[in-house]
Amino acid sequence: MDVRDYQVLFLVVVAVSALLVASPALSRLLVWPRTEFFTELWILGPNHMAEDYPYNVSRDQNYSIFLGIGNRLGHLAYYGIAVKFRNQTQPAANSFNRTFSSLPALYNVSAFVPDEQVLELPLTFSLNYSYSDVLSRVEFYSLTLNNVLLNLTDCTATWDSGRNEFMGNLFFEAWIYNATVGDFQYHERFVSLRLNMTV
Amino acid sequence: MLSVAAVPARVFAVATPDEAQAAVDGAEARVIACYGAVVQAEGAGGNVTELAGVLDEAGALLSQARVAFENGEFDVAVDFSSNCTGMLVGLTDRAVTLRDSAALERYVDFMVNVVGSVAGTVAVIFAGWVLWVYLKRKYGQAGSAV
Repeated sequence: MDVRDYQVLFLVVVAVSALLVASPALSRLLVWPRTEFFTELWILGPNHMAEDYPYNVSRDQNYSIFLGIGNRLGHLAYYGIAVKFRNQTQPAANSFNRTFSSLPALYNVSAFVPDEQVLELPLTFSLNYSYSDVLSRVEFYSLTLNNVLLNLTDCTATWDSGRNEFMGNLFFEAWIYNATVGDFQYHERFVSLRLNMTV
Repeated sequence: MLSVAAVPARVFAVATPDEAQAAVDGAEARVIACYGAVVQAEGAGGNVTELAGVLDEAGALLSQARVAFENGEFDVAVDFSSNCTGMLVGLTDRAVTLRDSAALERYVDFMVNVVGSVAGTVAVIFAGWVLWVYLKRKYGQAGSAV
């Protein structure tokens, strides 16, 4: 017998053994690099589903939603979710121009989300408002969000005959803390709830 | 008894706007400092889920402190701010400990799974070559002799 007859078999055995021993190192070196870094922001209805969102609201009635934040930025992120409320004439955030609403935030929800994790915040809100027969408009007094009373005076809603509603828009803008700048910057995304005030 | 004695001092303490502003600013600075420490721990490979949860709770208190301040409830703002700061006591140390242990774990993992694996691969190839040379000398000549 000539050992050189088994040369190929021997090489295969050595190569397979070498690959097995190298597999822990290869599993760390052959990792597809992450190329997309972004944040997800969403609202779910009271049943934790993308349905049954509150629309027709009554005065002082509690409504529940879930605000979700998914962090795919590659690091722990410090989000400031600006809670804002507007009527049909006040400025909204713009998803095309990626600009935030110039309205002041009624409240800032702080959220710290580790990389590749999701945070869901249960939010309960109610609106206190009245209907003015004289002026034919809804006058807002306050928004209560998770038992925190937020002032909404100076905000009114007139009848929108096109949509048959007294429109109020509760929206949430994502801001993110930039450690380099030392301040929050608009993170170019928002979610909103369109509401009709029943009178 | 101690708590009963302590209550009146807090009830009658009236915070000025400046004191409340300083308390809110101090709490905010503390939150940001802790956030920086936790980011470092995460960068070192530590699991920061628990620490992020503490930051979330502290952040909620800070948010309420800001609202109270804007509503002119300066005492409430001070209370929320001090609760926020109190919640963060020791968090930086925990983050530093987590960062160091994660860095050590990552080093050991690198030494075992990368350096050890590469060295093992070289050893397997070298051992294969030595074995091949040995077998060739022992059986290769015998085989050609036959």
